[in-house]
Amino acid sequence: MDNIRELLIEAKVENLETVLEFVSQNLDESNFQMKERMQICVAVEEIFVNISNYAYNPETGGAIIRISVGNEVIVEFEDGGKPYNPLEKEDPDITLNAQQRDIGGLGIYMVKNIMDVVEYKHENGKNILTIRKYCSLPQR
Amino acid sequence: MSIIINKTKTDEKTVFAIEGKLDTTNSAQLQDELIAAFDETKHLELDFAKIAYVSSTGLRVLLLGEKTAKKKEAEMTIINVSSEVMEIFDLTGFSDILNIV
Repeated sequence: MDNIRELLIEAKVENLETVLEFVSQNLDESNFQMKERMQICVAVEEIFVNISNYAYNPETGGAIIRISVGNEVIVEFEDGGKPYNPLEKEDPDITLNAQQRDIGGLGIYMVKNIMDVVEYKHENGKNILTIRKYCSLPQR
Repeated sequence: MSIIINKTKTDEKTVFAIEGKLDTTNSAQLQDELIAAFDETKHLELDFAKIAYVSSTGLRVLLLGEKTAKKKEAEMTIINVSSEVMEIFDLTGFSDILNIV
């Protein structure tokens, strides 16, 4: 990752707005299109909300969000909560009708589909989830 | 942050024109309104012209709305969906579940 900017923040849903602002500001300097920016924000929201709700539950704790914007955007989420790999979660069956559809598992499924790369590792007691998306236009 | 719901009620349907982001913070507000609406109408139309953003929490609320509609033998339709939001509906299979006009 080049040119990394870092946000240290308490992992709670009330801070979502601050996180999305931080990400949006960084994307403002890029050539990412509105649609791609929205998708990146959706992915960031899903992951941050997940960390807020589950990582330290019932306590709270910190999260570090690192972003690097170039020909691709890389966002890294680090927390010191319970080890949890969201990528192991089974994909929802998206062919079921409304009556049969369950509400779980959608968030991470969206992230996997929106982003080009999603990786998880557990290192030195930290959960580290990294998401990447390539820009459809050349950088300025 | 909040969302604005402009409500119009006629004999045949209730229209919610919603402005803002259907994200984690805002979706709960819509959820209560959606469920309450079906006590009074058989056709709820959601106007998405001013919705820029739908997260999975927003999708959950829409799914709950659709389930409530079915249970009450009512109808929920969504109009003016932007291409950005439509892409989210497509990749989650929601374009088949929801009644998008």
